[in-house]
Amino acid sequence: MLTTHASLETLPTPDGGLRLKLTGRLDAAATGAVWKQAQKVLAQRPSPHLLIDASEISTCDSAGIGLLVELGRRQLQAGHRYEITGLSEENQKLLNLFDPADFMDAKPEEPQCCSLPIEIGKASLSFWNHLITLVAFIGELVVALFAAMRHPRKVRWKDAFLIFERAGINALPIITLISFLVGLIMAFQSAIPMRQFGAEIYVANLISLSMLRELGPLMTAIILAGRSGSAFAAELGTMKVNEEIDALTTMGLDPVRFLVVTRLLAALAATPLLTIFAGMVGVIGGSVVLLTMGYPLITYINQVLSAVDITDLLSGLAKTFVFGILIAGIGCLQGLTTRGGASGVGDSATKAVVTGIILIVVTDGIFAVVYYYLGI
Amino acid sequence: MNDSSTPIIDVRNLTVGYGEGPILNDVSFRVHRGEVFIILGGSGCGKSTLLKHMIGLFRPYRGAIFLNGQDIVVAEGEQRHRILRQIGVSYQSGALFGSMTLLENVCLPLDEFTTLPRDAKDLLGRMKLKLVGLQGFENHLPSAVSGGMQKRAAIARAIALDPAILFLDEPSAGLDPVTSAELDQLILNLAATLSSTFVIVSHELPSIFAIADHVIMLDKQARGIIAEGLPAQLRDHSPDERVRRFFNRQVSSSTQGENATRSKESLHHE
Ligand SMILES: Nc1ncnc2c1ncn2[C@@H]1O[C@H](COP(=O)(O)OP(=O)(O)O)[C@@H](O)[C@H]1O
Ligand SMILES: [Mg+2]
Repeated sequence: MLTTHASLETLPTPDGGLRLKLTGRLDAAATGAVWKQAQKVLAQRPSPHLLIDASEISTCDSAGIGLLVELGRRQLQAGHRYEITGLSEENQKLLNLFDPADFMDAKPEEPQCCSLPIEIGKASLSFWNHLITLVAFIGELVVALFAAMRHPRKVRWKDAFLIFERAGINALPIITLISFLVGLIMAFQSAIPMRQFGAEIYVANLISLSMLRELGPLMTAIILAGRSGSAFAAELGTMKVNEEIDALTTMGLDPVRFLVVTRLLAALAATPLLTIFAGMVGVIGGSVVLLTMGYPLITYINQVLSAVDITDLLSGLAKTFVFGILIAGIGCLQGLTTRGGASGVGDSATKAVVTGIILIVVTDGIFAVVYYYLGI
Repeated sequence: MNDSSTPIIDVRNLTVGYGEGPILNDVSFRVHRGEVFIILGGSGCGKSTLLKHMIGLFRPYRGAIFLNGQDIVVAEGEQRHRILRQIGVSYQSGALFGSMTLLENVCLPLDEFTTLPRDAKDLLGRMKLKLVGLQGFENHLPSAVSGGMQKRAAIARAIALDPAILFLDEPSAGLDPVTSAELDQLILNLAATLSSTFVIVSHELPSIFAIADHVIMLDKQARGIIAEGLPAQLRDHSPDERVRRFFNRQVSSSTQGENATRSKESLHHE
């Protein structure tokens, strides 16, 4: 059985130098301990002439060669000499490939110290660049959309429909689940206090108004941003990283027309439809609570119909077109501006969702203010 | 087990595929220690497939693959890890991690599998990069270096742990002739100095003649090995027309038009 460990002996030489004797297996598993030991010896007992005796090394892989290079490097850095004796011919050949002088200035990279002005400058520059890309993207998108309107036959409707199916139809289960639960929970929570006034029936007003005007559009948009905005960003980001976007460009196909317009049209169609659906499911969820309280279904339906009119429905729907544009536009923009490799794609997907949700909430607030002043 | 006369890779009656029909049927061959072994054949004949099965990424339909005496097909858990530690792989596309610098890519296996101190790993990583001629590019991201450099960095990462067997999938494909020749030289140097065994997928004729000790040739129709031996011998003396055609870069006789027989070179000379 061969020894499984390496060891290091130090002996002073008659001429005042130092002699290091390495013994055993110098492989990746065993070299670590000797490495630290050797560094300590060199630091404590610097010697102008180091003699390294390698004759007792049984096996040596590149970790062992690395140790020899390290010893040489240390000596050279300190302006001292060294000599390696007794190394087997095979290992000597391997060692000859590396000149310790080549690694003199090789130190692990320290992260650069940051200073406030530099950071502020960098941040402003990246914000400015971001703004420029945003404006350019919106411009390109508008041009492409107008072109699509003028020549509807040039739009890739097949792609658009496939995306509509993936982003819209396939989202039905999750939208159903969430809207139903929200309707149910809201109805239940509000029925408890209203009951004290004998006004449970007005739960129908509350649910139908809030589902159609506010919650339905908002919930649907947030679900779509998480589900499809991120998917758009990841898909386009991967295409960008794989140079597929470049391939489109060199083929003379405009990526915005080819990829973004289809997604935008699909989102424009999917968001309002899903919102109507979400509103209906939410109202159905609310009905469950009233039914269990003993109100007949027809009463609930009549109450809902008297509470909302077509303006409520339309004011809710108007927002969803904007939400749809935001979700698809931001997802695609993040995808197209992806940099780097796999982690860049991850960043883009994250940014698409976060920016998307923030903009959706802000836009919703703006709509609320505008509706308030218009008296809708 | 480390006896130098036993083959380091022994593939027996291997049938592989991806769930549909077999892509290679009943393939057997051996690779000896220290050899540069080349798997060649036309595009889509299953070279990468064979390689991916040999490194245990997929389970074959039938057969055994002994790497250094242990069957990777049936190995599980710790034993499988031990086998995998003895091999290094560089993939057709490089497969460097895009968010890490070249040095970090090479140091990753060292970080995970050794207990060396940090500056030791750093130095070893730099030495590996030096070995493949990438000194000075340690802190570059893969996307910031050329394709040939990425391939070389991938090789540096594959040799980080001094593997006994190195698998390279088309190392010189897509590179210019000079870079490709440099890569061949690098492989020869590594084979001479590291005493590792190389299994290389390639269909670059110059590089095959330059570096191969032993080749097998796969064929799509035959779904197996149609020739085995030394490349120069196969080129000149193979009884199989497909093999001679491959080595002499000839179009198959059915598609060969009148013009194809006149090479560009001869046209220039006229
Ligand atoms: N992951 C996979 N799933 C299914 N089929 C595959 C897969 N990878 C390759 N193939 C098929 O296997 C065959 C051989 O492919 P491959 O081994 O990549 O060829 P090559 O010799 O060019 O490397 C091809 O017909 C290819 O379509
Ligand atoms: Mg391949």
